[in-house]
Amino acid sequence: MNDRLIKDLQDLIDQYKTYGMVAELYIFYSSDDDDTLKVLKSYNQNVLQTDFNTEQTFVSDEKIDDDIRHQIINQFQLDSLLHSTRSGSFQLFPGVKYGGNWPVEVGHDLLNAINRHILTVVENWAIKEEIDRYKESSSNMIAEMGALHEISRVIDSKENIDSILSYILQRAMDLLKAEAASLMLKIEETNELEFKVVFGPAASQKIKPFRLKVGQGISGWVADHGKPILIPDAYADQRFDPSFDQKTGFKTKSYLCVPMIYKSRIYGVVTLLNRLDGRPFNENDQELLTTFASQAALAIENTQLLQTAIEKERIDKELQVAAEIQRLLIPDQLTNIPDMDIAATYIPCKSVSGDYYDVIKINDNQYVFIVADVAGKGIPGAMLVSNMSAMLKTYLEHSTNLKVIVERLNTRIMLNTTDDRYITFFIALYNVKDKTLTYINAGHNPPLLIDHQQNVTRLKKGGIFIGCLNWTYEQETINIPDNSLLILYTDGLIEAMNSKEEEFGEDKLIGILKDNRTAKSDKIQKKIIKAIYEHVGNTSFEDDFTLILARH
Amino acid sequence: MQFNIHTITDKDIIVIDAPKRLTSDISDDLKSIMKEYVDREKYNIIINLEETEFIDSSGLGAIVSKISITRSNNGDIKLAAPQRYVVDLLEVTHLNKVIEILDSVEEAIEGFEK
Repeated sequence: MNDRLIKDLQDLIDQYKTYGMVAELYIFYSSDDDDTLKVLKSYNQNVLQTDFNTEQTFVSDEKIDDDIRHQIINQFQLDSLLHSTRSGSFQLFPGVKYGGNWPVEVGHDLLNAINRHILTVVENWAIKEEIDRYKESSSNMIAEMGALHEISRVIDSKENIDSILSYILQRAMDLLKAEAASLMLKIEETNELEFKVVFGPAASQKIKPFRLKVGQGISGWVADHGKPILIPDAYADQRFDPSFDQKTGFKTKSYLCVPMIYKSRIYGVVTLLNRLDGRPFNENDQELLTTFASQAALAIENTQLLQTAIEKERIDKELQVAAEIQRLLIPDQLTNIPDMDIAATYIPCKSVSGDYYDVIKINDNQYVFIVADVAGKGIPGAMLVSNMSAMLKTYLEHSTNLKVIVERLNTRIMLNTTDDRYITFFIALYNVKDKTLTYINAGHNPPLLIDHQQNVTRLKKGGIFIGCLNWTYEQETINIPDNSLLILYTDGLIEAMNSKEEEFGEDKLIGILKDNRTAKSDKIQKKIIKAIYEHVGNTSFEDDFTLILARH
Repeated sequence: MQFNIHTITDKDIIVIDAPKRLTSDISDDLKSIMKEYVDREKYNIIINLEETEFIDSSGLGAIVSKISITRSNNGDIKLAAPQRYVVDLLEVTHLNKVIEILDSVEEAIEGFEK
């Protein structure tokens, strides 16, 4: 039997004994799930519970077997033992030894009264139990709601954070019966708190975007220390600042402010003002609100993670698009030039840059080499190269005057770009008949010409990179001797670094070219790429690079 | 922010000390610093390259970004005390023909006074 019920019944027994109405009162009882009969009695003023020793199984028809009745009456020397009274899962039998000479009828009435009294106690107890169960189930319900909310939050996390925070605050406000509620978020950059969601009478009064410093006022203290503040009576507490009330006309009575913490990071604070039932907030309210606040923090954390993921996806997508543009720009197949053995390659790295190269046939006698590198990665860089390539091809249809073409291109690109974006650019016109190369180098790594005597010429005449400043470019024409080797490349090649941050360097490149000058272009190209991979080792390429070899 | 900035008030010159490596991760900072000064109508800028060992394309982009606007307002951007590598780079890109390069910050300041 439940301890509390036993206590209540023993109190009752004591009461009757104290009144002197009975010499001894026993309550025999049995529960449905336990067949043994037990007895409650007083003993020397102390009330004890003892097992009533009976071999015989107790009957379920709510009457005690006559044999047992007699046994009980004899054993306890009772004047009377009532038939069983059922209450819930219990059967109870009050047994009495009278304290005086009561007439039988009166004694019987007394016993009946006592019996009713016992029943009342048991019923009260049952109601109390019911209330407790209800309390327990309602607190379970709260926990369940929290869990449900958790699930719905996960599902809805793609919703914007504002609506999630509003939802959480609204639930907290409803559950804690608060008159007003607010949620403030911490702004890391300025170390301030800003109102995000406000509910209640003050909310309708258009609260302007309102910020306060972390550390300032109650909310600021909570955001600073990560600990809750519970103020049962606001105007009796020095920490409370009534200026907000004065502004809004709201009357703060009870004040509860808790931090929004997730994984020891403070995201903001949640504040509730005044319970609608008039009583002040208590520790339970604080505990419950803390749970809601940490859910809000979790929601923010999740949203931030999601945003990071989306941003990453966007960048990946952008790089994909840029890589696609670049792939389309770089020729699948190189134009053949008579008397020239040409090889070209493009080695991409993890980030897409704006390398570009091409060999364009003007007529049977004239061919144009181009290599370019745009400063600035991603789609803008790729678009700029694409733009430049289209313009260049158009110009080349009308003219082969490189100076005019480059200067026009420079002006056009200047108009099309931001002031920090530019293209390093090398263009050369090869004349098959004359064996001459006319070129302009616009700020590009100088292509190298190595003749049969291993003399190295760096093709650096020209001017500043295009797209930045108005410029008058210089142009130079050189002879291409027989058995010479021309190499055009982008800076990613010689700037490829190993783990010690040492660059591959132009000297190393020239060394390979000299050693292999008589080999076929694609062989030389393979040697260079192999050497670069060996140099870089396990390090990944910082920059992509382009390489064009032309052997005469 | 990896830039020390000195203001020579009486001469209305800004000296920006560039870091060891002027690469894409910090070029934006240099760009926004220069933009900030140009927006405040400070058109005489010296970039001190004394400590700078490496400049990539974004770094060059940042350096050239405000050339036009400073010049059209009777100002200029001058480079001071570049190391050998940087001098080579400025030559390759022909920037040495665009921007005045001086051996020291003092000389660059004098350059503005002329």
